[in-house]
Amino acid sequence: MNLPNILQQLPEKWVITDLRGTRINLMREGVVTLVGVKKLESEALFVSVEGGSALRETAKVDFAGRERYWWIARKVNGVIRRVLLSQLNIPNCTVDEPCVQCEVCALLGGLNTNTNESLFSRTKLQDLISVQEYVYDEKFRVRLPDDPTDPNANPVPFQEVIVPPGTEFPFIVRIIKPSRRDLALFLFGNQIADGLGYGNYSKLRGDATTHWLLLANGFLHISAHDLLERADEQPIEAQVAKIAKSPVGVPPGQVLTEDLAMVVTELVGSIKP
Amino acid sequence: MQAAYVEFRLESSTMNTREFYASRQGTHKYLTKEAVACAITYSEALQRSKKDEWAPLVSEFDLDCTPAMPVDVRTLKTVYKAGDDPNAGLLRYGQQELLLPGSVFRFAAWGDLPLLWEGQIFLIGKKRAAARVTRCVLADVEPDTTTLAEQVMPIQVPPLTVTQYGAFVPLVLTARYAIVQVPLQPGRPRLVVNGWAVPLGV
Repeated sequence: MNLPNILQQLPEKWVITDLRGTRINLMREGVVTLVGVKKLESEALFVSVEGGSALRETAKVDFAGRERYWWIARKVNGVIRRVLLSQLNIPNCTVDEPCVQCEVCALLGGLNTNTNESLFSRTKLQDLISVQEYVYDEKFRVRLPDDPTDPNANPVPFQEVIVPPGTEFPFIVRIIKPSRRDLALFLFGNQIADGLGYGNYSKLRGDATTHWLLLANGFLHISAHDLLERADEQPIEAQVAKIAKSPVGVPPGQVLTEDLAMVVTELVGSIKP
Repeated sequence: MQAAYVEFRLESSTMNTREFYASRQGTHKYLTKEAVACAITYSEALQRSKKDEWAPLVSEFDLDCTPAMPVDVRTLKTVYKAGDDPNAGLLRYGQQELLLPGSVFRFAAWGDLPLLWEGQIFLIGKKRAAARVTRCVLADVEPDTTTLAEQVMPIQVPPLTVTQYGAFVPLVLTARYAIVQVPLQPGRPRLVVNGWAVPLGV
């Protein structure tokens, strides 16, 4: 692989035994920070709160001065785990019973309640909180009966508060004690997960794209709150470009922005399903 | 001795598990002093054993701190669904109460402190939510038994030692730790940082 120096410095990959042992310090063992914008390409429903009767709604959160759509990080993490387990054909490891031995568990962590073994997740996704303001727009929909010709079957009406297509979310990810393989696995899983879709009924909706803006070999002190608070004056992309020029917490020369798309393609391509 | 008064705001949701019963997980509104110390020193244990849950909480740090107390904290009961097999694992379907992004906490720390500054990001709580330091006041302090302050920070103590304090208000009581508000009685050692007193051990 023709990777820039900042990634060449990372270890190629870890085996599970490298991750056992005592307490580590994130600053000594290293962190990679990825910053991007996830954009919904179709409508999505992230059911996080119990609505009344036949109503299901995406959660909202009051953050950075307004109500915003709130896409809890575990809803992205879960899809990425399923993608990796299936694409890499990991034997004896499922979402119900993580083996705590494979490279997916090594990256995303796991708890096996039979053996009581647990491994810390080294991939830290921040919750995704929308740039756009939350709008309570209740959609009235109807579920048709499985057999529309059955005279006793009736359509079932229901309501949904969905996230509209085009909604954007700053996406901040940190990988602790990273290897090049970890980074490639995450980017690969994220790319396929974006295409498969997130949230409820992802067969038909919840598709997203991720526009990666920055990769830093270090723990970048970047705040989603600040990005969102200033988003009316300056787009997220411009703010991140500015941060990349004087990144806090990352040594000089350890930030990648311009060739990032090419590097991501190369890393994703290095994973052979 | 160096001391710090810190306020921080969550950038992502997290929790400090309270009850976990009948498919319901609740959260305390305080984060433990261990969570605070791990966060500000950026230290993490990659592997855990279930036995660790019952190990006594022993300080592994060159600093001491209060638990993080709520300043402006909001919670929400979210629905939780994980996995495919309803009988496998722990919480598969139920309610999970989360501390919401935007919630603000404060704590005090003293001793051999790491670098702390406004704008700093650290990871704290369950699933290690990112948090941003919104206020940081550093001071050189000398603990004594006389300095007064208008406000007193809650402290975290082992549950069996709580009765050694002549008076206390329980804020969080668990089998492993208690977070209590104790009055600044005459003769009790304390340190004061940014107008907040921290009662020290009896």
